[in-house]
Amino acid sequence: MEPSGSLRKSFDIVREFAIADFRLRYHDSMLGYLWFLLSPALMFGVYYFVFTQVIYINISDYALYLILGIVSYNFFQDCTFSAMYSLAAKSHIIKKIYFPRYLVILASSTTAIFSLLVNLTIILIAVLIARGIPSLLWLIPIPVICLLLFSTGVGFILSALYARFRDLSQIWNVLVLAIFWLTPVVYDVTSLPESTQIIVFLNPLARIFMLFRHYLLYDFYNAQFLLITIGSSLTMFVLGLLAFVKVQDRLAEQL
Amino acid sequence: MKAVELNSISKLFSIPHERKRTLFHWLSSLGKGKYDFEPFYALKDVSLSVEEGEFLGVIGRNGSGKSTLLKIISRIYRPTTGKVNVKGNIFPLLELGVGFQPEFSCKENIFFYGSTLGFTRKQLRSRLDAIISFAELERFVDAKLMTLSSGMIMRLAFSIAVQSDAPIFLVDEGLAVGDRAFWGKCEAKFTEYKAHGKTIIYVSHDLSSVQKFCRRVLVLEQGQLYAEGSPEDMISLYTSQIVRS
Repeated sequence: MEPSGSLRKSFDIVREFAIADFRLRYHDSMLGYLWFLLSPALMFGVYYFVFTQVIYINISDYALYLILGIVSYNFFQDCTFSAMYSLAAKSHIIKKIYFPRYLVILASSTTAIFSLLVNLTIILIAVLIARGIPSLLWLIPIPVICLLLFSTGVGFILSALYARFRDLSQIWNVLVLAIFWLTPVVYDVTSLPESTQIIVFLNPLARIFMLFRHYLLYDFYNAQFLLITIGSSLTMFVLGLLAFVKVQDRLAEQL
Repeated sequence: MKAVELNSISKLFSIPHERKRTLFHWLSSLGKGKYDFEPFYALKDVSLSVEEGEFLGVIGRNGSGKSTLLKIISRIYRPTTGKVNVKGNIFPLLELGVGFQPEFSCKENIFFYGSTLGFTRKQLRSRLDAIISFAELERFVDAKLMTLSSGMIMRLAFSIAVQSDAPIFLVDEGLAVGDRAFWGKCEAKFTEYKAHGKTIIYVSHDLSSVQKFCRRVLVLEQGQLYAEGSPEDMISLYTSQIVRS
């Protein structure tokens, strides 16, 4: 109750919410924990089959390229959806106890980042075995943080809107699929015609996905590309947070 | 010193004739440009000041605005108009055990529930034994909450809540928890708080406990301050004029 400990208190709320979310989600079982590994693996299997056997895509190290895309995209999807539902799922607490509401969103992102980190570690091991140590490996936390910031920013906006509009989940279902194909998950930007490449470059998510590949697969570094990516992710986060803070006092009545 | 000050607070809720829960509804109603909801004042022009160390009772019928008043003081709701001034931390006990996780053990729930109430993990760890012994649940520390009886669960919730050292408490009924012996403990806590000069705002339908603890009582009726005064006067006013009408 000491005001000086308010940061500590916020941290502890996020921690408790994140742990509880995680446990409830995976039902405390080993098989449950395995599920967040199985789901991207399954997606990978299907796309890998389609894009090597049915439609041919010419990308070197396509397996690693594809799995990086899928794991990043899965995080974005998971993080935005769980943020969207998180307030409604905690509405009983929100209606009875006051605490800064944005902590709920931060907690749901924390839960989501955990599976991303586990998945990335597995990919990293695969990269080490297949290609040796990438020279830009030390830069890999940057796209992870950018992805987290961008997805959380989107999550802030979705969760606040979802308190009011319950059909948002259907709408977001469709949009997230559109985003999947507008972002180079399974294909490479350079395979697009020049005129359409701009759409992808304007998409901050595409840049983040490309950073992962630059650093883990291509040993490619471009300072300008990196700064624009950091800037756009940070902007999305700040915009989302500001929008959320503006409406958060009204959430208890809307939920 | 004033602990809580409300300056002509109003809270307006819009009761839609047809609640628009979807974006589709909202978009389709944009063109009509007509408001299709009724304004409803849950609170209307309520001013109130509570002295530090005061034990204030609030009584009134269902829907008279008692809970809305507590939610506004505790920042859960934002008033439509008016100003709220609160000096010091507030500890809201609007409902006990909100957010308890039935799948988790007692101990895990202490940390989960405790953190939503504003305790840090460190504070909870140092008060763990006190919480468990006050709740008389020593044998059930690692039992899943869903295996406990509802009375035990309420006792656990109350034991966590009373650990707070906040100077202002908001209490919304629902404290008739546990058996007689436990209620005795609760009353002892109230008496202790009162002696320690804590400010307590107590909303209840239990007129006898209001009479026992409160120094001053407010009567709310249809969102407005109907009367205020000594517990005896207000309780007889409430039972003779409001409950009967």
